[in-house]
Amino acid sequence: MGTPPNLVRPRRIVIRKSVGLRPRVYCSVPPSPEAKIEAWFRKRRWTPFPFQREVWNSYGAGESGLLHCTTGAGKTFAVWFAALLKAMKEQDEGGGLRVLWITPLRALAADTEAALASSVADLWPKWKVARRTGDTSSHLRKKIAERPPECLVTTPESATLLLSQPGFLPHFRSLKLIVLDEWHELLSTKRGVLTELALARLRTLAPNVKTWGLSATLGNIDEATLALGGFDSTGKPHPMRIVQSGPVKRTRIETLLPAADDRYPWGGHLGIQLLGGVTKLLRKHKTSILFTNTRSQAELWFQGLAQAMPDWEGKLGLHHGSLSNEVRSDAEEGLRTGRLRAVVATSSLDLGVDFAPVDAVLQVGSPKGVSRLLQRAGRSGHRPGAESVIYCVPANTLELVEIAAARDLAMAGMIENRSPLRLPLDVLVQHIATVGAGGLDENGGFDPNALLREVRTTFAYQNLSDTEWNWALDFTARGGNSLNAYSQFNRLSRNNGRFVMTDERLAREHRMNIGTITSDASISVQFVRGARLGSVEESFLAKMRKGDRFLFAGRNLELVRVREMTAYVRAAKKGPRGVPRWMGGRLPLSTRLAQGMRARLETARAGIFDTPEMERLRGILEIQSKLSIIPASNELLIERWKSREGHHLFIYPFEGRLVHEGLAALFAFRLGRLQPTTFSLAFNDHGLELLSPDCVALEAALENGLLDDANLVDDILGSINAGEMSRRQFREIARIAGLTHEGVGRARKSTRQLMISASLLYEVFQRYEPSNLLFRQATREVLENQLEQSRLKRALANMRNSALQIVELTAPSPFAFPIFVERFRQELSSEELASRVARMEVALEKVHDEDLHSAPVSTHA
Amino acid sequence: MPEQQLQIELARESLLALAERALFWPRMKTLFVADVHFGKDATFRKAMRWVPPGTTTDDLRRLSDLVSGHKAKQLIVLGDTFHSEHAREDETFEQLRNWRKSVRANVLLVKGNHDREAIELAQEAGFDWLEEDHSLPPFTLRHCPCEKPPDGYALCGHLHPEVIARGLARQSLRIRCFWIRSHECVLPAFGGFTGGYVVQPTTRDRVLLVAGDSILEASTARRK
Repeated sequence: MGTPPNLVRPRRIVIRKSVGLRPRVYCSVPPSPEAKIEAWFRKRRWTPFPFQREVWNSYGAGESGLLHCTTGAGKTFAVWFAALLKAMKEQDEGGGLRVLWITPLRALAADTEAALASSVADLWPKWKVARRTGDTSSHLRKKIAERPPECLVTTPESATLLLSQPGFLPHFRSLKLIVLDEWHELLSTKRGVLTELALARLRTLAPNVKTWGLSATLGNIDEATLALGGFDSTGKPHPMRIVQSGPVKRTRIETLLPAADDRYPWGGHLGIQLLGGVTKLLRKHKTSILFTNTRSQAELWFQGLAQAMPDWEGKLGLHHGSLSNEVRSDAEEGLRTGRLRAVVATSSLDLGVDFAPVDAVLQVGSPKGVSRLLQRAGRSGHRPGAESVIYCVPANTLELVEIAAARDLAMAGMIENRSPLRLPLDVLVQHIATVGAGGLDENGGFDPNALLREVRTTFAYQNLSDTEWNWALDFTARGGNSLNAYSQFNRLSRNNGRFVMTDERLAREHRMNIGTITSDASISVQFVRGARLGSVEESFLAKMRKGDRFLFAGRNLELVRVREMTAYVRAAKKGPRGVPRWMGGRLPLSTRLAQGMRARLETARAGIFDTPEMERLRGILEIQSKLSIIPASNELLIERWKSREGHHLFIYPFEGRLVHEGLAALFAFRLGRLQPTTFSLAFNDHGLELLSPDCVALEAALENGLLDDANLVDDILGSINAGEMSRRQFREIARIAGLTHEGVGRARKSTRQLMISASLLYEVFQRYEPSNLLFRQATREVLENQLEQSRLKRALANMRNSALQIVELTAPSPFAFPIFVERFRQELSSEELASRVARMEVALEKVHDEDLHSAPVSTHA
Repeated sequence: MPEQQLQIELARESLLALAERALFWPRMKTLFVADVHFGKDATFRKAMRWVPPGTTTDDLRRLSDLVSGHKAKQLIVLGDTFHSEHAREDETFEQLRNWRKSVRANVLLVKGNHDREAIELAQEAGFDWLEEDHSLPPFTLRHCPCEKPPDGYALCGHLHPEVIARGLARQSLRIRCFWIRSHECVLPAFGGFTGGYVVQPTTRDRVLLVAGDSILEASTARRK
């Protein structure tokens, strides 16, 4: 580095002799680090915000904290410059890891790395920035492991992976600062718990490390801070400064209204009917992001737009979590440079990525939550002070109510809470294995008591009981509870009271499993000769045969063959027949928004239609009152209808999808006790449907306590176990705890022998080890996290206190229709399996060479 | 009325399809099962993936009950008797050997793809292997179904066949079955720790559904 020309070297004193005067001393000092940073801002015509200075001072004084403000408001620089300032002041020349920057999205990591790297080059070039995520090449990974940069940008999974590598652990000891970007996004998920555990581990390795979280607006900032900061060994929360400010972001929420004469669909989630209006909007703006709620929806919209705007070829991009790194990076880069005019994206582009050219955001389908709406809106005008605009594109008519309600709440600043999870044992089991795998050269393993103390410093496991801990440790080390008979099961070995994973093969397998906390079993999709496009779920491909066509990565593909864990495809000549669907795609309506929606319906009942959305809804609400009624907030509407398919019962508690799922199972369970039958259950955010082959005695059931609190917990448990909820939940638990390993590369013979579906495993546990805590966790999670038992109880009480309105339908009402067409269904049966099967049919494929007019071979001999 | 067994005719022989996922040939007092996968649980535990023990023990007990219940003189497993060489692990091997000693029937095994690793272990435990496509007129015994009918009518397994049954009110169910075709009968997997594979029968086939303790003829509809 040369010295800038306008500066004089320090300590250089020039003495000039001049007659008659005292010698003059010229002394110049270099500008202070603060001044350098101020100059850096000035050069960009920016002024540091007061909250940025507050973070600089706070971190400078050795504090940890949480910075909490709207998106695009300069959070990154608040924390990053705090670290730089300190480094400059302390003349920290680096030579080891100093800052660990954890972000929830890979897309965000690339962008963050670029932002951090450019400023560090200007201000403190002694430091280097690098990124390590699942996308990082093995070459770069090796380089990072050998000589880590001063600042490493990574994801929770990759950070955890590093904690499982004995060679990397010593690098963490020089850590000064951990930054948790977009903390609100991780907060209420198991990834958040994984992060809490990693933080606790890192604090043990580097006891003086500071933690700073960056978060968007949340309803429960105190809990978010507790989960971030954790506790000390005495159970006292670590002191955290909450910096809560930043310029208020102005957000405009508009709705793309279907034309008044359009026959707009009553149900469905696609929203493609508004394609025309959307293309007009896109053309009006320079660069746009079109958000959808699911990946399949993104594929379909991309396809629709490409067909509708052939002149935009090469100007449209697609971005979702199942696409390969190359495809995603291409879309991100296209947005940044303005090469792309529009990108269709899912939540994979939700967060902080700074795509400054984006001047419009569109949201297809209801955003389902106020904070998500604001977050996505923040993708446009992503510059301090700029206004954000979001256009909502309703997928069906009733979503207009949700949009109107979301705007009401956004204006009132009523943002949802995101509650951190508590005591998920699957994540703990994974963590114990991680620490065991990382413990190879650290005194020969971990001390269980020390690890327990460490784990209890997290918010998630603060109240972990000794029994639960011992169980989790024992399970990780030696499998289930039959200790002596299975001495060969030995995942962690024990050495002088310390535990370690000595088998390198197991450690490798475990490391591959760490990344799977978010993803399902996936099959790589790749051209026969050439590029990898991404991955789809195994269950989707299982239904496909050679030659079948499907839409993926914005292309029409034909399946050529599936080899091991890869599906080879080629471009298809004819149109697609299917779009991959990914599990868990559907977002539930937040409680807040559900309440907001009820309030909107209430005003509509009173004849007030004071927003464009509500005005557009007037027609359909009139049809609803003609075919049925619009329930007042003290009324419970139940609609009955008999169709060719069976007997439909529609119930509308307006409590959101999660509660409706629980209520549907509970009602099916209670009704099924009165008469053996099988229900097909469907639900959406407004109501639920019980469909059965036989007419159910609703009135009798109501008299028998269908809505009662008595035996509620037992009945809920019964309904969870009779239905599919805990089975479904177990899938995730089995994966996280390492019971199933899905998609573990290049299936060798030995892995093929170990293929198992989570549902088969569920059955084996149910029968042979029902006391297993991971098995029981499935039910507990359904109860606590999914159903929110308390919410369910409150919903029942509300229903009991409402006046019942039972309406017989002659055709599905506008409220009923979206539930009626719902394809995602669950079953709950109280019949004997055999009598149920006796009423069912198996479809047989036609044999081509047989005489079509002859009767099929009689099977009733 | 649900039954526990159904009388069927294969290659002009009268047999019983049993809800226990086995086939009994009364004239020859021979019992057929397929895809038992002994030691599958131990295979998982050997790889340090926890699976509770008990499935192998239960499968052995179910087999003993079948043999004594039908007074079978001969038990033939149509392949995949063992899941892997890890049927040696834990106490599985001892269990198998003791069971072999105690069972009052001649036990013969067709070699399946999973058995390849377990040839010796089976012999050590006292089991005898049959050659490929063993002929037991009018039947041919094999593991994998085949496209071209061999000599005689084939009894086989390998697929772990299941079908999807549908009913009113949008119900659907995956259910294990016997898949009876013009040239072969594919048995459902017998093992308690086995999954299934959905097959697509044609209008020329016959499907027997195994629903819990019952077995019933599938009501069929032609696919639209």
